[in-house]
Amino acid sequence: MVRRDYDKDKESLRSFLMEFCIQDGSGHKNFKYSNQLTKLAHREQTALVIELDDVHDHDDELALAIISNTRRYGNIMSDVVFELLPTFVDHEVVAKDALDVYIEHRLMMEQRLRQPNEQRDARNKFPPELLRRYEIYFKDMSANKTVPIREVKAEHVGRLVTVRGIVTRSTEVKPMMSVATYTCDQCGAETYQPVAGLSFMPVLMCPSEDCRVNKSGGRLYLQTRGSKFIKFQEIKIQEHSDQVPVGHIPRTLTVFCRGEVTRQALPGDHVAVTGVFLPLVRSGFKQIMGGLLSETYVEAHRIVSLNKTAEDEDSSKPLTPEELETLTEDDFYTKLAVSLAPEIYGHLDVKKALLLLLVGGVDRRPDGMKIRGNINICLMGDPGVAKSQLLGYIDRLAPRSQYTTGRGSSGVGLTAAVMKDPMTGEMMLEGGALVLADQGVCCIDEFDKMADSDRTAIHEVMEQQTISIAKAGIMTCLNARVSILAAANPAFGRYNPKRTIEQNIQLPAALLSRFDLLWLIQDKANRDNDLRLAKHITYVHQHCKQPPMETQALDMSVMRKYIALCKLKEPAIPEELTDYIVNAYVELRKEARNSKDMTFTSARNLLGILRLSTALARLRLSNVVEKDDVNEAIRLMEMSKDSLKQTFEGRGYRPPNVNDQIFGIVRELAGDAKTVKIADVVEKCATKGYNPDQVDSCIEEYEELNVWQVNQTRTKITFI
Amino acid sequence: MDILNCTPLQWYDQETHFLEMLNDETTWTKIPLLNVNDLHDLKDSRLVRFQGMIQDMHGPEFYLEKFEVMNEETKKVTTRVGKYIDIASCEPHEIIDGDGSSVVRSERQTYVAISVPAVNTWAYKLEESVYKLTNNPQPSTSCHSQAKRPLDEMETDNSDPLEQSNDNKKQCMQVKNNEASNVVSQEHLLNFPIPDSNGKVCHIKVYQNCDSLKINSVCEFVGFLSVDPSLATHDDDEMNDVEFQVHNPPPSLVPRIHCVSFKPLKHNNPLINESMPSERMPVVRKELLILLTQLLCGDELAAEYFIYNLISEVYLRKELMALGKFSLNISNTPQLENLDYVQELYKFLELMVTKSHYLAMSLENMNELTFVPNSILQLSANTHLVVDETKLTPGKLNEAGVAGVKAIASAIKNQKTMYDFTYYQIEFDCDIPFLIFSEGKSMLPSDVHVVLEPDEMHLNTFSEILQAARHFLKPELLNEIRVYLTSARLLDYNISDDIQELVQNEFVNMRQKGGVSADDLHNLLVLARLVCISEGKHSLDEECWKKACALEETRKNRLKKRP
Repeated sequence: MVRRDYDKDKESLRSFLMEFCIQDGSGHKNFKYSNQLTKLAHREQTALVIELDDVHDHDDELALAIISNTRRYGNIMSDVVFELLPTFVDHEVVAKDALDVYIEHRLMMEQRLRQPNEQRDARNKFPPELLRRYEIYFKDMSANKTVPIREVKAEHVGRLVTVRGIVTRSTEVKPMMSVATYTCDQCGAETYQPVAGLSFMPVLMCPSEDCRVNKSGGRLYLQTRGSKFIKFQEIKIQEHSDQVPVGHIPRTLTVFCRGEVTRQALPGDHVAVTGVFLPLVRSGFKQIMGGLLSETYVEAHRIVSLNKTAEDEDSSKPLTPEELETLTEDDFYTKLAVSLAPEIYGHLDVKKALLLLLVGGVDRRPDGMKIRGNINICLMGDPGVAKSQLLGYIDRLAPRSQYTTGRGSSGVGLTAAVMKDPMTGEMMLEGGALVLADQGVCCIDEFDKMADSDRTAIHEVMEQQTISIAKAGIMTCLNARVSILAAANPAFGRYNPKRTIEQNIQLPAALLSRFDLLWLIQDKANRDNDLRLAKHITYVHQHCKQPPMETQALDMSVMRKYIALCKLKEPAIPEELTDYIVNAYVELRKEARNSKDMTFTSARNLLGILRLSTALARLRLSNVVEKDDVNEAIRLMEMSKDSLKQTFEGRGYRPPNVNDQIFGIVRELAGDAKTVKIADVVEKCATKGYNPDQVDSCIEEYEELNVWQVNQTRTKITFI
Repeated sequence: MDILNCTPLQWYDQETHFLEMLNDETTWTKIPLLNVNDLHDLKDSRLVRFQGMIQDMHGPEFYLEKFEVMNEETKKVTTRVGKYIDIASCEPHEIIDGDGSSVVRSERQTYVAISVPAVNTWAYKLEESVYKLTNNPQPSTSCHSQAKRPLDEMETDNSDPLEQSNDNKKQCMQVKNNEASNVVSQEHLLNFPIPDSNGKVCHIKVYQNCDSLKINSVCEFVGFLSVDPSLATHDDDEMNDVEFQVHNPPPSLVPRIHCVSFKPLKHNNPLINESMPSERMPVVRKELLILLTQLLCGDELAAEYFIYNLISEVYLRKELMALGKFSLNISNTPQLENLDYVQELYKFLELMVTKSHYLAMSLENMNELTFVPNSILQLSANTHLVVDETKLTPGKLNEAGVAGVKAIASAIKNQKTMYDFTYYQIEFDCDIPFLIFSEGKSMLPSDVHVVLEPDEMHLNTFSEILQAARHFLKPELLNEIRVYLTSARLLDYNISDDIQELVQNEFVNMRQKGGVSADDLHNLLVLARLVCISEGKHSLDEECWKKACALEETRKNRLKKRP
């Protein structure tokens, strides 16, 4: 490599600082750096951040040179600024702290006492570090990609790198000596010692001319006020979990922060660190014995707290053209759905619904009212129909998600709890699964076994998307903008088609109606399907891999990226479609009334259709909802209703009419007893919403059937 | 050239030549095995062999592959090689220059490898009998400078890791007194998942092909031993830094190995030179079945499943699915008056398999043993874990205990263990065949649940049966069983197309009858594979399939009988 001409680079940097400007719209020139230099000169600004993008515009080679040898150019830049600063002073500089005053005094003394050409020991001269009150930082070029911590290698030593990670540890900010100042007890001369490393060896004997000539053996004493200290903090960052290859342990990296870069991150923060990767210079014994090894660290120039999860970062990377191509193929909707939990065979419609749950509908806020866009789905079914696997897969796929069971393992449970900090004794709010999954998916297995307190909270979450807390004097409202994916087991071991959903799942209708889709997954024998399933499984066992399907399952990371892309869209429903949707809804209601189904068709279903169709539009990366979206949304909704109804087919079963339902109540009321008072029946039925006429007609019908007898005064029913 | 006396420098100069030599199996095995030898019998900076499981990974190290040394007296500059060594060889008047023009910086990875956990005594003893150095031990020679002599002598007082790790309390105390300034205890530095008196820990420095090394994988490493005591000297500051101590333990306790080559170990059965001929396998299997049937109180069905558990392994992974896992729950375990049934049974098991561990699932154990993060579940593939649930008594499980039960349950269900990295957790694959003994159905999940039907006569005469079984298990037979169990696992296996069709049709018919799900087909196919390889067959045939179906039916009927 050709050695660079540093003097020429210095000139180039000087002209860059003086001349670089950005023209704004009105043609006005904004001298970005010279303005900042003025501020530096007046001690109004400490850190000067040089954006390498700007340097690149000025001199592209120079920017690359800076990246590959950052520390050296940092020093050159510092020198340039030091030389330039006096020319920028245009009014009296107000001393900000003791060190400013001190520097001012020393400079004055220097001018008074010393002859201009006097030769002095270098250590008695002011080191430049002492006089400089500014800090130079570089900002990496925006075109440069972040390097995974794992990929920071020997060839990066000395270079400017940007890494991402999660802060696992940070020390307190401590003052670190950058220039040690000593005074001699004999001659009074001052000695300065710049400190570069983490430790230094104090100077003991006075090196000044006087002491040396007179052999007076002056001792040096460290002067705290005259020394320069800078803020120093050491942090450790750890790789994001998605950057760790399978079967490996996450790597960590030490970052040294000085001056203005300190206090930028706390443990647990996701950060991007730009800095120089350097070997740690060890002094003393360690250097002698180690010699061959060097520990490394990153000297931070810039720390940005990302405030995002690692997965968000991952999915923000754009899709490659090939990936996009596979995604825009025909029938990508089916393809995406099939790629959900590919190891679970079949259940295409359920998977489609889950895909829409991941994408989500659009939130609406007309006139301060809030209509959620998140889609809630409840999967029901007999034990062993892969409900939990589906939940587990969604949990892994969704960028933000929480997996929990209704029973709730921790004391925090689903909502939130007030905890006492063991260290400080302060009361703290600790979020439960629903809070932690904010803006994500909350997968709740065994939804039916939920604690009562959580059940009440979940009502609020599912419609208002918030959690209100009033505990231990803390009253607050936490956001819980989650999509809920629940799995529930039937109360009686198996789903009993003769009973309503509430009876089967033992959850109140108010809660169940908040689910946009209720899906009953059943395991029924079917020759064709079973053969296909058997082929699938035997193939896996025979070839030790998934069989080649018509549609190849997409990779999880591609799915994540695509879903993130979809979420950026905010599709609207065009005017001309509203009538169509309304008609479709009216149809649904009519049908529901006629067939007396066990599900609920209410206004919530209309919202559900809207949510599903906007999600479908998002999935097409479109800004407008089309008729097909609505049709598909309605189809899914009907399929989900069918999944609950289809159990009746083939067994010649008809849904229970009002009379049957009332009969059920009477049976329940009677229990083991043979007789029931009609007054009790009427009262009980009234609470369930049946009027006395209906009760009467029921009693008559069953009397005719000789199921029971009614006494003369019509006050008692006796079962036969 | 003699590979055994090759120095790191010689190796560096003729790397390809030596690597070729290592390709030869006999040369490879000639290299002294660290596992069965005392550290002081081995020479510093000479090749050694180590069989270990990767337990941890430290960050990369940047070292000077080539560096310059300047002699202060003569001002002469020479270039030296820093690969495969820890400490530069230079005289007191020489200065290392890390910035010269011929300096090459490189990177190497440090792995913490421990002796494979839960290796049974017989396997260890066999290795020892073959590879233990018999010649008079030469003291380890290290090439450090004179100045460090006193340190060295201090170190040698307790430089025998074997003695130290014998877990003799008194000795440990003494060691601690000697190294009073250490903040990290020796147990912590060694960090065995399961206490192991013969266990060793090494820091392996790997220079190439690092990506293939994964956590919990078992490999055989060949590399230069480095036990220079000056590696253990630190500044005062660092002495108090726990992390520094963990990364730089005294080499007497944790020797460094600069790895030149490594290969994954498929099994650690020292008896396997060539796998067993497949026609011999059914014969051994029959003998084994007789033995196990007697031990399982005359229950042949349980004995069949027992064998399958012994030869099972995960052979396919995809996301959440781990195909081939075959964790077995034997319930209705008999309670004998003066014998601990499970422990007696385990005594036989540990004679037969190379790696196994017995875990009494008592309340104290569950509450006190650590399961998360680094735990007794950090075991290499195919380590049989016998969980004795009969030891569980009613009582309170504390938080650690609940986490422990969860960790075991997840290991059984998905063959994955969780490791905690403070801000997130990472799952690692494992392959541990569990064998759970319980009275009723176990609280832990299992792939197969067999209700034991003990024979009354067997129960009454169980101590005699044990006697007879020991007698039956002659050394030749025992060795054959050992070879059999490993060879069966190593067999290739496939399903032919016509059998596949048969299976598919049968499944469709089963579905018509009802009560069969996709999982059942998975289980049947896994079982059929085990039936097949247990007979020494490579390809699934109708006979094995029918047998698997019949076994499952009998097993399920037994389950139905019980409420």
